[in-house]
Amino acid sequence: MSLQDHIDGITVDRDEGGLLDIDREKAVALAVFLVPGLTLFGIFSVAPIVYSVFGSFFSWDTFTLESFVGLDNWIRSLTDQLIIHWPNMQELRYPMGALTHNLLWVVIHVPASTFLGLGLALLFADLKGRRFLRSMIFVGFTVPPIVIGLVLMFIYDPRAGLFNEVLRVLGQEQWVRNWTQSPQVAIYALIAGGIWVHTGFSMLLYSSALSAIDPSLLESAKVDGAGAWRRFRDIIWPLVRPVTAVVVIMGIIWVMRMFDIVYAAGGAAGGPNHAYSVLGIEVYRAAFRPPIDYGMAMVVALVQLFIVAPLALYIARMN
Amino acid sequence: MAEDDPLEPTGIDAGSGRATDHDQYLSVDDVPDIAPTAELSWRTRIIESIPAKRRALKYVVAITIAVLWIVPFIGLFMASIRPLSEIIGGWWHLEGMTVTFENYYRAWNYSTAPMGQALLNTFIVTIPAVLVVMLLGVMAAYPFARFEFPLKTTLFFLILLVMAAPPELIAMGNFNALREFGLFDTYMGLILIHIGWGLGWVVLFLRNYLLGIPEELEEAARIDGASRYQIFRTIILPLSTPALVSVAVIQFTWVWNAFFFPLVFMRSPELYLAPQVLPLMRGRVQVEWGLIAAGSIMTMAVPVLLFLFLERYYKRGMVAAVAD
Amino acid sequence: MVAITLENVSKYFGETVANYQVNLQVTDGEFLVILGPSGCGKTTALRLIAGLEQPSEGAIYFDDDRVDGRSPSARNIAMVFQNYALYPHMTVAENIGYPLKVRGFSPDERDEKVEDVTSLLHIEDQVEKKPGALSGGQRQRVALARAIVREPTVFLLDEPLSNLDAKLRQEMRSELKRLQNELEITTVYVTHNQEEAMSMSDRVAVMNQGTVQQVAPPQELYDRPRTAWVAQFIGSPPMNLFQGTRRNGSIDLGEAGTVDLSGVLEAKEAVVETSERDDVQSTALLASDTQGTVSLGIRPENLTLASTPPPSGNVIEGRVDTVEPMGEYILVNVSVNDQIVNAKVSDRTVSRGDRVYLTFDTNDAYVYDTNGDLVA
Repeated sequence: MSLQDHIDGITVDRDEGGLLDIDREKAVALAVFLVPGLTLFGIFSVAPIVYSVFGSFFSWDTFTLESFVGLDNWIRSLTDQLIIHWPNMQELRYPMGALTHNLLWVVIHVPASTFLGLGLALLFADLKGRRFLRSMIFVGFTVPPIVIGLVLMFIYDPRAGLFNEVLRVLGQEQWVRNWTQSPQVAIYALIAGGIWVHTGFSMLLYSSALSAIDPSLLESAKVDGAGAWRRFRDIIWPLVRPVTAVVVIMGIIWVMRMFDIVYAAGGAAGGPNHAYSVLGIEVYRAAFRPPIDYGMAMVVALVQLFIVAPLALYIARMN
Repeated sequence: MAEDDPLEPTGIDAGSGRATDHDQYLSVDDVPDIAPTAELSWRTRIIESIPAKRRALKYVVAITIAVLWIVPFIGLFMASIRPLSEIIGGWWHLEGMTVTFENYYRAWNYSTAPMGQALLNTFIVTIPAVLVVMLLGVMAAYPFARFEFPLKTTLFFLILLVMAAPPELIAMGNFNALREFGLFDTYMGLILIHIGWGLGWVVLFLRNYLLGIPEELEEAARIDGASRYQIFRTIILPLSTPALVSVAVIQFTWVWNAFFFPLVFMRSPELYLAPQVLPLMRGRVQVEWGLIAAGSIMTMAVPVLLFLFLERYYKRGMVAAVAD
Repeated sequence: MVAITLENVSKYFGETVANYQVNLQVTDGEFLVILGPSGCGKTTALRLIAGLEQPSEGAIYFDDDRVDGRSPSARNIAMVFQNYALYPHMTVAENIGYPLKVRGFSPDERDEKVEDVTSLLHIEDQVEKKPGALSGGQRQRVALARAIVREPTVFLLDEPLSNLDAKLRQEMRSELKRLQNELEITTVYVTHNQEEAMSMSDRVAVMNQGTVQQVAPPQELYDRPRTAWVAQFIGSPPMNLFQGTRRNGSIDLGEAGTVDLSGVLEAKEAVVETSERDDVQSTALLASDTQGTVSLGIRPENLTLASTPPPSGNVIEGRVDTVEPMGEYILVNVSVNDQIVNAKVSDRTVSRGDRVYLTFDTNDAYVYDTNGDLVA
C-alpha cells in the first residue's frame, strides 16, 4: 500500500466518522422532537385500537380478556338485531338497527347539508356583512353537541317546543307530538337537527372554495355571455367540485361518529326501544352498561372505522 | 365635445394646423380627491345605497335565513331567563315576561353536580390538554415536515388511521389502561386521553403548515450557526404562531365540548365535566327546561365566545385541517 | 364594427374617484391604447366600456346606442384579461368554444369556428390540452382566440402582454397588431408600457389620476405633449424640465444661463399655428414686464454636448455627473443647478467632472406654464 493510499484511507475514515457524528446528532434531534408526542399518541390512540382489533377475537369476562374465540364476536355482533334488524327493515319499522340508522343518516343528512351549505355559500358570497351572516350559520357547529341534542329536545317538545307551535299555527294539529320520543319519526327529527348544525361547516368549506375562484374567470364568462345559471354550471361548480368530495366525506365521518345528539335525546338506549340508536351508542352500551360485552363493543367500533377509513385515505390521497 | 357629432375624432388633426382645445381636457387638479357623492347628505346617501330590487331581495332572503338559523339558540336563551311555567307556555310569548336568574342560580348549585364545579373541572381538563398538544404537536410535526427518517410513511399512515377512527374505538383499551395505571376517574387520566387523541390531527395540520415555510429561512439560520433546537425555537415556533392559534382554538373547542370521553372516564360526580352534567338535569317527571337551558348557556358560552373572538383563526384552521 | 364614445363618464367606488369626467372617442376600427401609470383609472375605464362596471355619471355610446346600464353580454364585446382568465377545467378547444356554446351555436359550427381561429393563431396543436399545460405565450394566444372567435364588434384588452417575457412580448405585439389589421375590430388596449402604446396604437389616450390628459397619435404625443406631465411620462429617459423665471422675454435659468424665449416661440409658430389663447400667452410671455416661473422642456435626444461654449444660440451650462454607455447611445447625466439632466449622445467625449455646455435647437424646446400646460 502506497503512502498516498494510506492517507486516502485515513481521510475516508475521518469522513465516515464525521457522517456518523451528523447522523447521531440528527437521530438525537429526531428523538427529542418525536418521542414525547409519539409516545402519548402511541399509548392512548394507537395501542387501544390495536387492543380492540386483538380483543375482538377473544371472549371477555367483563373487562378481562379470556380466550381466543375466532370470529365469534364478529358473527354474534353483526347478526345482532341491535345492529341490523332485518325483520323491521322489511316492514320499514323502527328500530331497524344501529348500522341501518347510521346509514340512513348518511343518505339523508350528508346530501342535504352539502346542498344547503353550497346554497348558503353562494347566497352569501357577494353580500356585505357576509362574514357575520356566515358566523350566524356556523356558530351552532361550535356549540357542544350535547347542547344541540338538548336544544332539539326542547324544540320538539309537545308544549314548550317551537316546532310544534309552528305546526299548530299552520293548522297541522294532527302532527303535533313529542318528536324525539316518537319511534317512527324521531330519527328524521334528529337528522333535521343534524343538518341544521352541520350545514354551517359545509358552507364554510364552500365559501373558502368560492373565494379562491379567480374573479376574472367569472367576469370573462359574463363577457362571453353566460347568465347566472350557466356561470354556476360551467365555471363555479366544476371548480368547487373537489371541495364537494371533502364536504361529503367529512359529512360521512361526522355522521358515522354521531353520539352526543342521540344520547341527549334518547339516553344510553338510543331512544325508546332503541328506535334511533347509532353505532356509537351501541359501543357505549355494550362496553360500559351492564351486561358488559367488551367483544361486541370492539367489533362495532371497528365496523365504524372500516366504513370511514377508506374515505379518509381517499381525502389524504387527493392532496 | 360637439353634441351633434359625438363621434368626431378629436386631437387627431391637432398637430397639423389647429391647436388642441385646452378646454377639452381636465387638469388633474380638477379631479376631486373624494367622490362628490360623499358630500351629499346622509339621507340621500342612504337612499342611494339601497341596492337594486334583486339584490335587495337577496339581502332579505339571506338575513331571514341567518336569523331563522339561530332561533333555536334564542329560544334556549329565553328559556334560561324565564320561570318554568312561562317556558311551558311558550318562550315566544313575550307579554307578561318575567326575567329571572333563578335558573342560573339553581344550575350553578345543582345538587348532583354543581355547574360551578363542573365548569371549573372542564377548565382544569381543557387547558393542559390544549397547551400540551400544541407543544408536543409542533415538535413532532417539525421532523415530519423537514426530515427523512425510517418509518415516516408508516407513522403518517397510522396518524391518518387514528384520525378516521371513532372515539368509541379507543374507549375500551384506554378504560383498561387507565385503571391499570390508577388514573381512572382522575383529571390526569382524561387529560392524557385528550392529548393522545388530539395529537394525530394536530401533527398533520401543523406539518402541512410547516411545509409552507420556506426552507431558506432555516438554511440561513444554520449558516448563521444556529443549532436545530435554536432554529426550532427562534424560526419555526414564531413563524407558526397563526397555525398554533388555530390549533389552540379548535382543540379547545373539541376538548371542552367532548361528551363521550368524560362520560366514560369520569365517574365521580365531583369530577363531572360541564357537558356531562347537562343530560342529568332533565329531571324525572317534568323536564326542567329552565335548568337545562341555563346550564347549556353557561357551557356553550365559552366555546362560542372563543369562536366569536378568534373567528378568523377558527375558520381558517377548520378549512385547512380538512382541506389538506 | 362600432365607434365608442364616453361622455363625461365618472366612476366612484365609495369615496374613491376612479374616473372623473372622462371624454373619449374611439372611431370604428381604430386601435386605441389607454396609457397611464398604475392607479390612473385606465382599467376602470376599460371595465366601464366592457360593462363589468357601470358609470356613476355620464354616458357610454356604441355608435348611437347608449349602452351604459347594459350587461356585458348585451354589448357584443370581447375582453382579454391580464391573467388571461382561461377556465382551468376546460380544454383549449372548450375554452375557445365557450362563448359560442353560451350563445347556442351548434357543435358543428363551434368546431368549425374554433378550427378557423386556432389556425389563425397557430395553436392547432394545443386544442386538447388544459390551460395548465400551456406556456405563457400559448395561454395568451388561447385568450385571444377565445376573444375573437365570436367576431365581437369591440375588442378590449387589459394589459394582455404584461405577464410575458420580453421576447414573447415583442412577438405578441406584432401578432396583435396583425390580427387587428386583419379583423378591423375597434380595439381598446390598456397598458402602462409606453413602448407597447407607441408601437401598436392608432392613437394613444394618456390618463392620469382618473382623467384623460391627452389623446393623440403616437408621434404627435411625442412631438407635442400637451402638458409637462405627459412630456415627462412619454419618452425614455423622460424629457428634461428646467425650472426658470421668465424675464424680459427670456427664461432665466440662474447660473446655468438664459434662454431667449422669442426664439423658442417663433420656432414653434413656424411649425404649429397656435390657437388664439396660446397667442395671448405667447405675447404675454414676451412682454418685458411680466415675471413668473415657467418650465423649459427638452428631450435628452435633442441635447448636444460641447466642452467649449458655442459661439451663439441658447446654452445651458453644467457639470458631468455620470456617463452610462447604453450600447446604441451614451447617456450622460449632467448636473445643472443641482438638477440632473439626461442627454443622449453618440460618442464618448466627456467624463465625470467636466464642465459642459448643452445646446439645443429651438425647434425642439417646449415651454410649460406654472399649471404645466404647454404654451410653446
